[in-house]
Amino acid sequence: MPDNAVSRYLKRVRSRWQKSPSWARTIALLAALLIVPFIPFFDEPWLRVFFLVGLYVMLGLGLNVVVGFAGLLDLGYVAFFAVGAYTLAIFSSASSPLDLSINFWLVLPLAMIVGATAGLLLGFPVLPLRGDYLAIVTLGFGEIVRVLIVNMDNVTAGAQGISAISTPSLAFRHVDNPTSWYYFIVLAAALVAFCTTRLGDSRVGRAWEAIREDEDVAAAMGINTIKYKLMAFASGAAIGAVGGVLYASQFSFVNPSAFTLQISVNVLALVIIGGMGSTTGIIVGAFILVGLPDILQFRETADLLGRLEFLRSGVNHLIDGLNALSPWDLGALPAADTWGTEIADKRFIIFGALLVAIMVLRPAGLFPSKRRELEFENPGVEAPQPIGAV
Amino acid sequence: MAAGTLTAAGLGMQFEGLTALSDITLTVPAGEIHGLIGPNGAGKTTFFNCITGFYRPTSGSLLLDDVRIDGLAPHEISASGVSRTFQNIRLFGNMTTLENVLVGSHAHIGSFADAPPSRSRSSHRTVETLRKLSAAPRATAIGVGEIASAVSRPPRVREREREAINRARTLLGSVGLVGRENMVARNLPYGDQRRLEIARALATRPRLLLLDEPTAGMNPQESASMVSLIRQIRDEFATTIILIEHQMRVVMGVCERITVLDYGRKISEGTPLEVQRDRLVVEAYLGTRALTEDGHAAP
Repeated sequence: MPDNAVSRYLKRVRSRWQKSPSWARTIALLAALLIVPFIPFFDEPWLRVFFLVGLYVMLGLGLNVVVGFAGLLDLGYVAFFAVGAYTLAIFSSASSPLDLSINFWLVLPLAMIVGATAGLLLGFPVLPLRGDYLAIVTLGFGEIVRVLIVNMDNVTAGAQGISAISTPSLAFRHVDNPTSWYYFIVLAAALVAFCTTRLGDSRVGRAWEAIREDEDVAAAMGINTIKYKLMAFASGAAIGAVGGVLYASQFSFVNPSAFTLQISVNVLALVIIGGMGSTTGIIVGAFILVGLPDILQFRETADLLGRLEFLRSGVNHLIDGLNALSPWDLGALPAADTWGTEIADKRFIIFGALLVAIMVLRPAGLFPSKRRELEFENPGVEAPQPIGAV
Repeated sequence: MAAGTLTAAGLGMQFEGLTALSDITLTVPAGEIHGLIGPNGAGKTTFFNCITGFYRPTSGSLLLDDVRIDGLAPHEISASGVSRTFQNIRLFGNMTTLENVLVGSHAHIGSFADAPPSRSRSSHRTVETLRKLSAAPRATAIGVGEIASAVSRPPRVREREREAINRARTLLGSVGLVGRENMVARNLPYGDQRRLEIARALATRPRLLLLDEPTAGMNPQESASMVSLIRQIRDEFATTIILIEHQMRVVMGVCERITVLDYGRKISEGTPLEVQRDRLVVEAYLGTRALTEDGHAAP
């Protein structure tokens, strides 16, 4: 791992964070998240972005069960997201072709079951496949589900989509504005994080890890590899379906064009960028991958950049100096109040460059799990964390 | 847990035109340390792969204490009491020493009993498929139950986990890996990795333990301590042991009886002394000159 200022700083932050007990970390994180809507700066557009980030955190945690824990590369994760979203849409919306209008809380477990079943459907044919082959087949699976949704128009309303999807009520309050959705997603993501962390640190998680390390040997040690691979697919899919349910409910509209490969890629990328196997990493990864492109085009970002006007003359002097030496005209910086739009226009270039930089500087991700870090670092280190603490 | 008797009857393994094993008939009585030797490519590891279910033998049968194990899946064979180590060490490299052993005890921590290993003898694919389908509801219930108990972590599960950890520590102690519980397996010194593989195999509570070249790449002192470890395991854990070995000093020193394979056939079987004097063995395996040099010099 390259030894540079950024990585040293991140390391220090992380070691301070990891030295505090886990309950303290959880409380600190939750408290910080809960006061966010009270900060006036974070108005509704911000909360909408945070909702999306929270949603992707959930999806990341779900995919991490499949990819991070069990080592099964899944490029079709969007399929389960779509299955969840459409289950809610079909069963809860009055405008769906079935017109059932079932309560959100009844459809949620149903969506998990449907999602898990879809996971098993994907799991069975890919059982003998590994690595790249698995990735290709799962990629196809994602497309199959999308095409099915488009074509089963007597159930899914086809390309037209389904609107007026029901929203949940929690503690006698209807979840229908950005603030309540924000709280809802924080709660849901925290619950999912709790479940996946516990799963990873259990007999089941150990079996997954053994399969990831060496499937044949895992089988020889008495692990029913078929069963545990299917369990990984099914539980990952169930979480993806919950994500889909929340997505459909919040936007109250679904149509097939929302469920593209891009979502699978984004979720996988945020898991890898954040640091595979670590919950903190997934949160940070979701922020960078999902939050950042939106935040870059916010008015606040433009305002902030507008205040950097004082930098302009300095930089322009420098450019003038270079102009005197170079055979080309290097131009000059435009006024700072246009920087916001410039960056908003070019946000995907910035974003892409950032991703490349992160992967080059920190190949194990920003906040890798202890074990991943060991995999990337040079051998000879002892793992400090005893697993004996049950 | 008593040591098991392995009986192979007419065992054959054919890979499209290549006969890796043919007509191996062999009985290893309970509690014996049995050696399996032969030149490279003789089919020794193939024999192990057949016993552990990595390969499905193309003919013949395998019995562990009168229960047929050929044709079962690897994890079912492991559950019937067969465990192994590997020629090229295959640990879960990124897991700790303790976790490696815990994976071995996987089947013994479970609070949800799997369906008993079912022999899939049926030649009809439809019958086979129906049988699998009929097991699906039960399997699903078990899977959901396992996930639920992993998440909710009831006291019973914690208790079992604690027991498993204690047992794993004891096992690590028996093979001499005290104080290395939390080291990542691939950072262990070579000899310790071999010992860890044995501890992991023992964690499955085998009645038959297959060791594939346990002293490969070791110096004489390390080999000697491995030999005493093998004897100690047989006595302490009451298990039958079959080992593949190339170092004649080890084979002759630790094995009570030896089987010699050559080109997939059994060419000799007997006590170390008998095998050493067997003309066929000498020709096929040790070579004519070796007879005068090593054969008689070996203990």
